Amino acid sequence: MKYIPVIFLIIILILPAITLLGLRKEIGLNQTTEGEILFFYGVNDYRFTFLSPKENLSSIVLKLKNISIRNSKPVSFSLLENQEVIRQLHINGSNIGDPDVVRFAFAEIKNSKNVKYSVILSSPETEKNEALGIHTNTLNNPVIITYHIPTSRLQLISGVYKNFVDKILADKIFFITWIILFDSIVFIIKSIDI
Amino acid sequence: MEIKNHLMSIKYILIWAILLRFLIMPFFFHPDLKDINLRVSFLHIGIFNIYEYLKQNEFTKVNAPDFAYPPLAYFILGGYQSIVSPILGNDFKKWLFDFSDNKYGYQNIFFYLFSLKFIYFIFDLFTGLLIYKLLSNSNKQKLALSLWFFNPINLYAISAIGQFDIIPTFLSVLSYFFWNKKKTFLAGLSLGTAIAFKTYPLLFLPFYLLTKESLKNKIVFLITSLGIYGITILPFINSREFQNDVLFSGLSTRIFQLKVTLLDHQLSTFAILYLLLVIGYIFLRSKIPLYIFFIISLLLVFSTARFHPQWIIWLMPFLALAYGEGKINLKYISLFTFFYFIYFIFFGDSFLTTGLLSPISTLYLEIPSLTKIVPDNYQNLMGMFTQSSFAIVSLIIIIKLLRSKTLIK
Repeated sequence: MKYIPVIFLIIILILPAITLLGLRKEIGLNQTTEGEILFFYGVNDYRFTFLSPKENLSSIVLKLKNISIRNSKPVSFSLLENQEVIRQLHINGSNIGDPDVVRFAFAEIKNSKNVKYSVILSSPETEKNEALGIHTNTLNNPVIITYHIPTSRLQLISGVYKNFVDKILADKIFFITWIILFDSIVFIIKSIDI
Repeated sequence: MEIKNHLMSIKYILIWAILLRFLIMPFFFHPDLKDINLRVSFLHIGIFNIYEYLKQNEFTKVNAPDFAYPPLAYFILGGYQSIVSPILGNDFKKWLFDFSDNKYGYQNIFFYLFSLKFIYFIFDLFTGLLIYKLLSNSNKQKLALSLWFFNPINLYAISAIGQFDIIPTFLSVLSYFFWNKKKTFLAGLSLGTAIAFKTYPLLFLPFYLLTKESLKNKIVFLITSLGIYGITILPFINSREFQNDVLFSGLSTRIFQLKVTLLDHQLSTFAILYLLLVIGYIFLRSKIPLYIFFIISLLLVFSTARFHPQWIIWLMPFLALAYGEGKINLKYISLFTFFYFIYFIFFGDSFLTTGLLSPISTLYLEIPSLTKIVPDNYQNLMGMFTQSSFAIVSLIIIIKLLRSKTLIK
């Protein structure tokens, strides 16, 4: 019986690692700061470039906006490498919310690490009054998350644990409160006569 | 299957209980915690009738149009949030109103989760201590306390999911504690407050009133418990929004949804079984303790309705008491726990499984649901199978508890 809480402790500590074994894709580029919305319609495409930080690029998530879900025109997503379209997807504007996180998934690109890609979002049939928006930060970099098929499970798990610890330590007020509160409660329990 | 208690002091149990909870509370997230806290945050700006306000406010009428709980839950949780929110920083309110995927990435999310769940942690601890007090004549007192603190259901439903069900649960146990001490007024006050948080403890009321207690005490108990509930809902009783969101909400009526046809009439399965149980209590009250009937009532709810994971907390302290008094052994409780988790693994909500870890990394949101191991065509069948299995295990426990007769002094 004495070891049951110890077993629980071990389970809690390894649970994030075990759960990750079920993961089929990992995050690469993760830019979620937003401040502006840029619009594309007709001949005004939206174009940006990014550097893939990992191998096996398999999907790109962008934050788009279809004001009042007004737009129901075809929308094209083109991924280019050296000015050549290597992946292309077509969706309908009515599938974009106000706003919406839209995932563009495609067949994985094996040697994608450190390769510069361009993305073009276009909707030639869209009029100005139904233009589609893309959320960007104040420097006009879009909100973007890239997903990659994991190459090494061990590396992935160690990366998650490292980021986790960094995130705890980054919130100093939480960390200090957490430690002090735990120590204080334990101290009180030890000192009172139960 | 019984386990000997080797060198477990109450301090050892408490310190481990706290450590485990401190390791779970900040890092596990279910969106319901944020959703409820978004709604109760309006107390801070002086909103009294939250039910009407949510339907008028431009933001909430789209994103959070209802509050399905009685007013006391709004005032207590809102009051608690008003106390802790100043230390949570300026981004806290922004986080509450953030419905985007960014909500997992806030730098202070661990602090938010830890602080918002801390109130539940306090009630969790005190419920354990009440169980310990109630079992003062039992030689399994510490084992029952360990069962409360170290069972995965409590860690999951209270510390990981973080719903406020532990508050009415504590109050229900407190009511039973006072009743045992012959403090009828305090027992009624506690049960009434519990009902004012969530209406389910109303199910316990008929059993209290059918005990062998004096008529005077029963009247005091009835007036206090219903009085407290009545006082808290009285200012809202004419509000149509309150009536729709709380009194006649899907949550309140869900337990009556499963029907059987008797003589061309559709009757609620739960209502029939519950009525039989209340009648049964009149004949068995000398042999079976009152709290066993609380357990059975709740098992009937879980067997006949599609319940939320946190509802199980209502039952757990009484199950720990039953274990402490030798009415049920760990074999049955383990079986119950196993089927509870199987039920929720196949519930179809990723935030009940891998999604709970989303504050650690959003990668956990990308993990395919465990339900995917079953082909899509069989998903409904699997859901029915897990629900039926849980109902069967509940039935086995009901039979076991009803057979564990001992003479009540």
